[in-house]
Amino acid sequence: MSSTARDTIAVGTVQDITDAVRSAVKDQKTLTAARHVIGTTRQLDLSAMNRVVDYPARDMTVTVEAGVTLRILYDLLRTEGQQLPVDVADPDMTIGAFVASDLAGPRQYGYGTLRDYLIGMEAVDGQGRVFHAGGRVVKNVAGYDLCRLMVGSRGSLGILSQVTFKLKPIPEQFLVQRWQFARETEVTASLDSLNQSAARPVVIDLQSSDSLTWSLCVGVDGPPAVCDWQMKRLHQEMSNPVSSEILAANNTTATVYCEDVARRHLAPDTVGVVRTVPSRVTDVCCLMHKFGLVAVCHAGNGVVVVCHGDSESLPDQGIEQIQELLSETQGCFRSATDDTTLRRPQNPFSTGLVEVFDPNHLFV
Amino acid sequence: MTTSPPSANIPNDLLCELAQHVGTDRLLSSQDELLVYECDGYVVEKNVPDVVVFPQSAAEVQAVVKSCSRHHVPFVPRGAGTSLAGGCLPVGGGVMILLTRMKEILEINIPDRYAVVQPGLVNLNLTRALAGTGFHYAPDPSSQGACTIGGNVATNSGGPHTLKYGVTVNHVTGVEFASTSGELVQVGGPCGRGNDLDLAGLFVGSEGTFGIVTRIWVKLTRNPESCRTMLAVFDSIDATSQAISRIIGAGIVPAALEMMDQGIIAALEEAFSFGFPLDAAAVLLIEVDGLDVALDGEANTITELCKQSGAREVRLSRTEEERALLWKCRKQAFGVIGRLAPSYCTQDGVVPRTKLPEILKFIADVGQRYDTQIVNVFHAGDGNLHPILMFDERDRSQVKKVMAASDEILDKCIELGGSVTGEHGIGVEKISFMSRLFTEEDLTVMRDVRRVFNPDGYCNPGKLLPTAGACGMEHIERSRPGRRAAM
Repeated sequence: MSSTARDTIAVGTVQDITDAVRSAVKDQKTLTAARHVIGTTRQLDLSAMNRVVDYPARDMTVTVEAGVTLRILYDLLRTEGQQLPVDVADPDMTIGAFVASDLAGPRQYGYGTLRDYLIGMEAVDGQGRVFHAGGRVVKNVAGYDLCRLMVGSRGSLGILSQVTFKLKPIPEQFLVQRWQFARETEVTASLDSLNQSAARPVVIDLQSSDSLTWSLCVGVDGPPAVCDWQMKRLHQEMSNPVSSEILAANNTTATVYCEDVARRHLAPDTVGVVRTVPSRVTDVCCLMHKFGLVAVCHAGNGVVVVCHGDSESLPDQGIEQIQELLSETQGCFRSATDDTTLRRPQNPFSTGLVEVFDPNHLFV
Repeated sequence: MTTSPPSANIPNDLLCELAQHVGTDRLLSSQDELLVYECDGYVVEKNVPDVVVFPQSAAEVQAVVKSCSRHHVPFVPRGAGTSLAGGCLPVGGGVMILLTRMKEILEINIPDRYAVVQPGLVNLNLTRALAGTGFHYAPDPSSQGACTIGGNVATNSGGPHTLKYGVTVNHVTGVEFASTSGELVQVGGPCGRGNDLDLAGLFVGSEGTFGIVTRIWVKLTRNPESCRTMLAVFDSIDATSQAISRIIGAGIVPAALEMMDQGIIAALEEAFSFGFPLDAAAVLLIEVDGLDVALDGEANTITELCKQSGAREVRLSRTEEERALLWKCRKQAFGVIGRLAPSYCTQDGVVPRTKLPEILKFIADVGQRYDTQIVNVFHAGDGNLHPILMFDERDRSQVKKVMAASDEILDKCIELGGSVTGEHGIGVEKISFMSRLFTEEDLTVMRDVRRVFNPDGYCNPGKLLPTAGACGMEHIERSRPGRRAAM
């Protein structure tokens, strides 16, 4: 473990993390493994914890240290024809940060999110306790499922040191097609069709900047003949599109598409993320248009990323209206500028859990 | 329901309160009636509850829990009682809360692909209710015709088709529960965890130790357009294991990949007359599903891989009736064990898939050494074993042998990098293994987590986590199998 003038602590082992936690408690400092640090918080640099611990490819699992970047992990998996099918927003992000943020992109419709792939983990809590959950087998219900708890916890419960994922094979082909629509009614009808489509899309994204421009991107994967068959069916099922075009004709370009869209979650012009039910996505889009904002949606999952348009923020009136809409569906809105939601959770059990894992309020 | 003298362990005023909450017609307290609830599917350890109540609403569950907590009496949730690990064994007695009368489907939302159900709903009844919608509820434990979704949530149940579709936690987005103080709490919902921690994800698999589930939000899954179901016949366990490894290694994810060995095949054939080859060492039940246009190619590849591994033959189900019978055989395999022995104990170990040949050899060796018949029917694609050890529970020496043999098998699973439970849960059965799977610090953290939800420990005590400071020998030292929990 080494410390720099900027109060960044480089750690190479889980023991180093434990030492750093205990030292921070003693010195009454706050601590984070995040890249961007505010104030006097000590920053943990996990880049030296970049070892691939175990990759039994035939078991389709991989165990890596939390400092491994997504670029390195995904490149490694590709050599075996395998993937962690969660879209990468930033290839230089560490796998630990990826789990803590629970980022996902277009393929969450077909493949789910990190919650569905994390099967084991090791972490250090705010008391310096090293704890484990899950294991290295794809099916395991021994003990409480702390893996799910860590996914999306934004570092509020501990510093991840090691993670194990189950994997999927890379499909032979992955295609993305875009259909344009001029009216909301038509895009809504097309989304309804997709819900019962003869095809089995893995991506259903919707982008709209105003009520006259709706862009529906649908991805399918599998053997080439199966992809072709699905695309033919999708063309038949769409409701009066103005135009259509192949957006990505192979795995490489389709992956680039997914990563570009996933990047929206981290973009500086992102206002926030709405989570609702799929059938209300176009309503959210229309509301955002009204306030001059652009919506990028994982429509099949009810996720709407709200971005700058003519306007750069949602006024109080807009927040009220979106909250009203979301209350009907038990949805939620998270502002991109407010990353502290989990530090002041509404649910008393979440508060209790944060107290258990971080009684000294070490993690920011 | 009768009102013979209740157990002396329950204060009379609590009994009166419970009767007020649910009515005397939905309360059992006489010893003869309580005997039905002395164990679940894990028959080795038994203990009768002091009282059984049958609430019909979340409000009644809340009231029961509040009364139990106020009187410092433990309470245990129970669905259909199909747990194979003693998950609803009333350790120390107390009040058993039967949720089987809370069996309504509260909402089916096809456009948003979710349903809201009560915990006592039988798993299969949800999929039946979805007939004609093009959707189904994916987790399909072998007991799905009897087990409840609340019970599935408690143990994070799997099933044959979870190889492709995932286990219960992958299909639950929200849970409402009566907390141990009797408050009704919702975590997650139709849109998932929202801005909160994934408490629904944590709740799934908590084995009823965090509170009593009263409502569940589940995802609905599109029905596959078509499927191909194959039966591959092998002359050796080694060849069978090789085929499993080859299929998974080839990057194929079948909807199901199940193995049945010679012992179970014989019993199934006697029961169902399917036409299983009685001289085969093992068979694989393999199903691929999805778009029809893709399936012949996948089925051909799998057939080829099986043959390369030494399969004697690979049969494709020709009709839907044949497929249904094949699945009936698989899902009722446990039911036919009665033809082989008066009692059985099913284990639930997991190993990395590539370790299947090694663990299957080990299980055969254990069976020989302990002179105990062991048959295997299991989720091969997940590496999730279900060795079934047969015995007569009236013979104490047999019970002891079975316990020791089971322990050896589970220890070997751990040694091979696996786990002692893939879908049945820890319950009371495997508590002593927790300290072999996890460090003492891990267990301390888990106890701290449990304390957040269950601070006084009244909610389903004696499950999942060993008592702090225990020597971990509780399981091995049981001197009165069948009554250990009462000791």
